[in-house]
Amino acid sequence: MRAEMTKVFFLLAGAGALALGTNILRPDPLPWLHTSEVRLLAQAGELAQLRTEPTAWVDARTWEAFVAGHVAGAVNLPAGQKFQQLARLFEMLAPQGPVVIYGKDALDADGREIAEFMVQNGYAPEQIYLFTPGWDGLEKIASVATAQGEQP
Amino acid sequence: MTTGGKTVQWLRQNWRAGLAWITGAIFIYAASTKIADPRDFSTAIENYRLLPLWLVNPAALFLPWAELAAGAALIFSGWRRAGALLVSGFSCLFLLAVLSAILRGLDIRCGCFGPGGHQAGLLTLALDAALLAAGWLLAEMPLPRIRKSGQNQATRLNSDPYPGPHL
Repeated sequence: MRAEMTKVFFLLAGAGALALGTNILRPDPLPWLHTSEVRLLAQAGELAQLRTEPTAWVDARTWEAFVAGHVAGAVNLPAGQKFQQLARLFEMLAPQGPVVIYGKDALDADGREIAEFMVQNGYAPEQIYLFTPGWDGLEKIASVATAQGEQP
Repeated sequence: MTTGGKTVQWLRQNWRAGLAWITGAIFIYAASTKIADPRDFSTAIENYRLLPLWLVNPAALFLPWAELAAGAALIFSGWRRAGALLVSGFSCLFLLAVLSAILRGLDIRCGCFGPGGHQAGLLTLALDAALLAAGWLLAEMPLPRIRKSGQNQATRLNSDPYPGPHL
C-alpha cells in the first residue's frame, strides 16, 4: 500500500506541475486568486428575497437571444459590446438599488463578466447580483415576468 | 468453442483491464474538456459554494490535471492501483459535492464534462457512484462484509468486555 501511496503522490505532484506550467504558458491565464466581489444568487428563493426591493435587470446574452425572450424591463448588455454600451447602461440603470445580472445558463461566463465590469465601472459591489442559473433558470420561475422583442 | 463463448471467456479474464480502460477514458475526456476551458470550470466550482473564493481558481487549474493523471494511470497496468485510488477519491469528492448541491436546492450545472454539461442532479449522482464503484473494484479494496446473524452472536460472545463471572 505504501508503494501505491508513493505513486499517488507522484501523480498529484505531476498534475500540480502541469497545472502551474500550462497556466503560465496560456495566452489568457486564469488568475491564481479569484477576487470577485459579485454576490451570487443560485436559487429562486434567494431571488424572491431580493425582489422585496425594486430590482433592475441586466441581460448579458446576445441581442438575438434577448429578442427571443428576456425578463420584462431588462437592459440588454451583451458581453462582447460592454465598452460601447457602458454610457447607455448608466443612462438606463440608476447606480442605486440592486441589479441582477443573468447570462444564458449556469456555465455561461458572460453574466459574470458583465457583473465584474459594472463593479469596475462605478456600481457598488453590494448592489450587483449574479443569478447563476441564468435565463434557463429564470424561465422556470413563474413569478418572474418575461417579455419578447426589443427593449424600449 | 463458439464465438460467443470465447467472448464471455475473454471478458471473464480481462474485465478488470476493460473496466480500467473505460473508466480511464471517461476521466481523460472529462479532464481534457476542463483543461481547454478553465474559466468555465472555475465558474462551475464557484457555483457549488463549497470552497472559499481564494481556493476556486487553484482548484479549477489543478483538478483537471489530477483527473487526467488518474485516468492515464488506469491505462498502464503498473500504475493501475494508484490511478484507481485517485479515481475513487475524486468520485467520492464529486459525489458529495453534487449531493450537497441537490440537498441545498442549487440549480447549477454539474461541470463534469466542461462547458454545456447537464444539471447537477440524480443522473450526475448515478455517474459518480458508478465511477466510485469502478475505482473501488480496481483498487482491490475490501468490500463491506455482511455478517450472518449466528456469526454476529458468536463475535459478541467472544468479545465480552467482562470475561469474569457475570452478576
